[in-house]
Amino acid sequence: MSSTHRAVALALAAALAIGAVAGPGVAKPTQNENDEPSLVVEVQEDGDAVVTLTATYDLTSEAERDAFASLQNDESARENATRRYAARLDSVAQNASERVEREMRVPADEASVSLEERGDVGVVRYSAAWKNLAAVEDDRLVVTEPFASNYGTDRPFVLVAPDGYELTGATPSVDAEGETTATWDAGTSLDGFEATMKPGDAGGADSLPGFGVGAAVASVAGAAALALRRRRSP
Amino acid sequence: MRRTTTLMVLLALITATVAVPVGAAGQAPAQVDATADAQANANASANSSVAPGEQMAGVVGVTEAEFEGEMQERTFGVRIAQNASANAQSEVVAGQLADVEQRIEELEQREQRLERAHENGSMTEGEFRAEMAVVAAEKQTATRLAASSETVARGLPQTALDRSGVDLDAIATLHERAAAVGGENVSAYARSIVGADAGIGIGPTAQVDVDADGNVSVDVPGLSIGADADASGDADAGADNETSADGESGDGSTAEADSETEVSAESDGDGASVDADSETNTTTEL
Repeated sequence: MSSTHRAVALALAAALAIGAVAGPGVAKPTQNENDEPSLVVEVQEDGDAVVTLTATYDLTSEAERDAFASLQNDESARENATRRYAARLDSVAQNASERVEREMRVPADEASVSLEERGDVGVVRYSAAWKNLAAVEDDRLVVTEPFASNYGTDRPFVLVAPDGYELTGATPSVDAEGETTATWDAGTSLDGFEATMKPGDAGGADSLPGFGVGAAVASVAGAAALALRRRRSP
Repeated sequence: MRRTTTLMVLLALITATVAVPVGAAGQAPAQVDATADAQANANASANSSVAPGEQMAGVVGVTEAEFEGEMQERTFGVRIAQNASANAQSEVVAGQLADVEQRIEELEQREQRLERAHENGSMTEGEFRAEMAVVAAEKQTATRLAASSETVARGLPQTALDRSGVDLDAIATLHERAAAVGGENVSAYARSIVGADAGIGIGPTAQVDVDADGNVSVDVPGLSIGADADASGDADAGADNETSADGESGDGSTAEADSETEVSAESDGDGASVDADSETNTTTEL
């Protein structure tokens, strides 16, 4: 395993091992504090979710580090980025609401953007609370839109179930699964996407055979590394 | 000859008479965003040809492209400020223009691939619009980088430009090529995915200023860099291009270079904070 893959695997292992989920109305996931490109959807028991887009940028020169630092210090820029992210997701939510029998929305005041310098990589995380993203059917949570209608992910797509829940079904098949996480690799078409979660047994055994935490880390690490190389070496 | 380049901390746009915003093409981001917020919903929701998943993919792509563009524009401004001599600045401009040209070529090729895929039916209307929205965002970045490069170049002496191979006419050609990327409908495609603000700078961005004497200065909001350097080894770089933002003048007899970045810890009371307690890791959270 290369040093890059080891680093990615360690970062994702740490992220996957945390297992905590953001509370209602808080667009600051604890599950996704890794430094790899990804789109993470953390579903809560009431069907709301926190959607976090993580992007990375090269900071290999002094000028790039200074530019990133300037954005860290530029409150106006960060506020604009936050507002845009929420407004755009809200537009998607409205579009998706027409395809599901519930009103989705993304409040502007429950979004955030964070910038973190990790050595020679700048990590930017956009997070927003997405109301009613999952359908609540008795004790089941079902996620379809806005991914079921031809969403093609260019980075690992990670679905995080509420604490104590487990994935009981997924289309297309997941590429890696942990106790509360399911990951689809970069490049996967999620057309027809559906994921179902239910409260699981104590201990949270894997519900879909063939995927454990180790496999999840290895698979996601590989996918993330590919996405990272693409973004940082255009 | 001594040159002094000072990059000041500015949290608001400066009001110099010849000011070219590196990032925002002269538009106030807050105003644009206010309009865009309303238009984004109307445009996207009204456009039934774009499925939610396709729109989501476009939002992800545009969001990432915009931040990358902001980074590139600010990085260019920092590089200009950190290189005080005309020759060094001209080299930075030359490198930036080469990068912009490559970027435009890539955008042109991508546009052709997308057009073909759209026409032969291998790409849905929504996929096409989402991909073109990203093209639109990257086009905006290329256009602004070409503009800021031209602004700096026009403040540099011809000898320095010749030495670096910077051709002002070629910059004009780059402008035209950048403007043509995506065709006349690319902005409409972008609006249908993310609203009216696709590709517009996300903040009060770096500005390159050239005064009547050809002096170049750069301001990057949120950054404090002091860069003092002389023109040692660069004596013919053009006495008319002294870079100054603080009124200093030098005699050219000393050689010193100093560059530093300051990230200040602060809290503004609305939840924003900046932590800079280590040399390599800093985190900012709204």
